[in-house]
Amino acid sequence: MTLSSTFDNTVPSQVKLSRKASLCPVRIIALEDVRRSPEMIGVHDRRPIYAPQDGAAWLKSIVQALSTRGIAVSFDTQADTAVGATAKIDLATAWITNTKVNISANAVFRMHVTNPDKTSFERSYRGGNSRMTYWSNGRPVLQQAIDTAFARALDAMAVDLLATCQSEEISPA
Amino acid sequence: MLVAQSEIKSDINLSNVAVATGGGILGGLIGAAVDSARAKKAEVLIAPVRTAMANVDGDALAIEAAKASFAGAQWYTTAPETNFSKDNSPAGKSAYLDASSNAQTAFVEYSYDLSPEFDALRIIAKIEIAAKNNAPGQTKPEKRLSPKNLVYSSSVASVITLPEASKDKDVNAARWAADDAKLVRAALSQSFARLQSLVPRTLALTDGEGEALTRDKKNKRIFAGGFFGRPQPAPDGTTLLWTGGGFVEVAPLQ
Repeated sequence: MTLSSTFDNTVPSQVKLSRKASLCPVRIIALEDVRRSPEMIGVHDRRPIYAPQDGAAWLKSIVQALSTRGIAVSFDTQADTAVGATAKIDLATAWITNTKVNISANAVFRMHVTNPDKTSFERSYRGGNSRMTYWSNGRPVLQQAIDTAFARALDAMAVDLLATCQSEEISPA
Repeated sequence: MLVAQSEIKSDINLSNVAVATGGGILGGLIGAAVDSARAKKAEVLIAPVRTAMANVDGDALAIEAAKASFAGAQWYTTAPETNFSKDNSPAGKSAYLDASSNAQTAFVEYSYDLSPEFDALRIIAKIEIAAKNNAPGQTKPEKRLSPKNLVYSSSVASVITLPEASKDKDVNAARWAADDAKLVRAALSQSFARLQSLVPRTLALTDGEGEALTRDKKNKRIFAGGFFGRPQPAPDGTTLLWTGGGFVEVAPLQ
């Protein structure tokens, strides 16, 4: 199978936002899939799982989902970029594998953030999802698993990005 | 060269609830639920290990081990190209055979994981040689990869045990992850190095020699490191098994 061409951002975010909080502007100045075989997302039941053909658009759609986690995401090419922190993001891992009856999806982003005050930090953000393959309904279970893994990684990234604005207004779930 | 994983894998011992309850549907459902819960727990436990070894390039270690393992095999002549892929599916391998100009292709697949009790690191090298042309009467391209049509097949494993492992997998998992996964890094290096000896040794066996080891019924099969096999002479502290398909070495972390 091939994953859908854009990230399905329907997995509920676990980032708790204050109602009064405004969106935190973050400019993504680099976004890259640094995996050794970016065309592959895993092998399940002896069948290959492929990444979408347009890997750049797919990756952008994933990171764009930070916008539902309190972040006003803009990309370098956008002229109306808001002032705020900048981030360089690498997709280091995105893989689906079998663990006996379960399928397990894992996603890891490496993010280098430069704060408005020019201080910076770099961290890895992991998301995972392990679920049974039986009784799946609705979206394909493999798609759900990897999208959930991405959602959890985005949650972790959002917490750190929100801290670049107003850390007192957010808290992890 | 195939490494169909991006990080170290977890594993579980399958529940025997289904067997214990007579093999009915209810037992099967309960067993599947138990196995699913175990798999989820294993994924949680292994996450810190994966994070701690984020800068370990398992693919590169496997590529290096494969090159070294095959360099000494007399019957094997490396083609000008040695390709790397993460697609170990029959369809992927079949597509490679179609694209290759060689009469035969060796697929060397490495997989590495932590044991269900987190008391050992295991690397398995699966070697398959497949012909480009279908066997007479075969029409499905992927049948070239079915076991009976392979030109050659073996599986070699190196198991590195955690010193003074606990019966508590949480404790073992924490030890593997500690100090930037120092113990995992050491175990991976040791295990890949051992495979560089074990793979050529397996490749050098003739069919008759392998068959003799398999049929040596006076040499009772034993269980070690998660594998059954007939014990072979090995240095103190190390167990070497012949499984019928290749060697498995179980050794403590140095």
